[in-house]
Amino acid sequence: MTQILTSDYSDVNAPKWTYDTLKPPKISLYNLYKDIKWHLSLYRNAKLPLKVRIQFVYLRIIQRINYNKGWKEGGKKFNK
Amino acid sequence: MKVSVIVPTYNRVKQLKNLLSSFSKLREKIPCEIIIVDDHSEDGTESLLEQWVLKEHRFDARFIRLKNNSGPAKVRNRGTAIAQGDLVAFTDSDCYVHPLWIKHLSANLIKNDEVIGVGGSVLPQSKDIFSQYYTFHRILEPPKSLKYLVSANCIFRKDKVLEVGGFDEDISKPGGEDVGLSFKLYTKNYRFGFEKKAIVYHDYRRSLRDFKKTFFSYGFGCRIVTEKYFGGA
Repeated sequence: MTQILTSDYSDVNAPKWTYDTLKPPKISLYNLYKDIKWHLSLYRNAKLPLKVRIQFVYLRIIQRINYNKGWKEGGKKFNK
Repeated sequence: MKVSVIVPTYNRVKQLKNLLSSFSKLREKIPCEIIIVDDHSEDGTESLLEQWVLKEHRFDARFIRLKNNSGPAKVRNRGTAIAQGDLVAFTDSDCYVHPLWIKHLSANLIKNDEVIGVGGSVLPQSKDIFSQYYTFHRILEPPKSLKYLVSANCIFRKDKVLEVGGFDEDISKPGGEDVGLSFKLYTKNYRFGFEKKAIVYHDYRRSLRDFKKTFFSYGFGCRIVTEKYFGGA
């Protein structure tokens, strides 16, 4: 049975997020690299299986791209 | 203190059945009422709720149906406006609750004068990779800084919610409206708590398309509330 794991990290420490206001860092290769590196360390510390780590990295990239897209579109709507 | 539970719903009749069944199993602290606000569903939700209000006797089971599809913010505000409890608890119609959910959620708020809202744990109903991802990253739980609560599982003092005008109705789709309410409260120096033992189980959508849409909506809504309450963040 797959164990449901939760992380015990503070989002405030995640790289370059002004988390209190939920504003994401810009999507760039460097920022994504830092983000993924930070999360891989988290997954390693949580002893997630390799297959899950790979899937999580993929979903994390999808999350970041789509959240940033939404963030941009939200800004356009707000400033209309 | 009386607790009102408010649940918005839109075209989720199957999941709503599970939620209503879990309400009938609540123990030790029973809400005075549960209000389901139907955002003009077209999948048989209305007749499910008509039967539910007749069968449920442990608490005041109520539902209202909006004339037009209005979005979760407006729906929750309509529920809050008619709630009779001193505390208003929220969850979503794609969740079901632990039998001691209300007991733990309300107890934390009642014993702790310094907070005006409390969030709880959100665990998955399934074990697929999307559910694991959301759960591991605590997407639907408050952050450790407790700057906001998430409407999948939270409770507030009703007078404070009304004081700040409730959820932001200019966010018409799910995503960010609960953060907006929390920001309004937080900027008035109200604070929140977290009760790990207050548990709901969420039915996460299990497709990449929905995953993308969800995070797009979160980014969209969070941008709007961040601009509103933190001005040009």
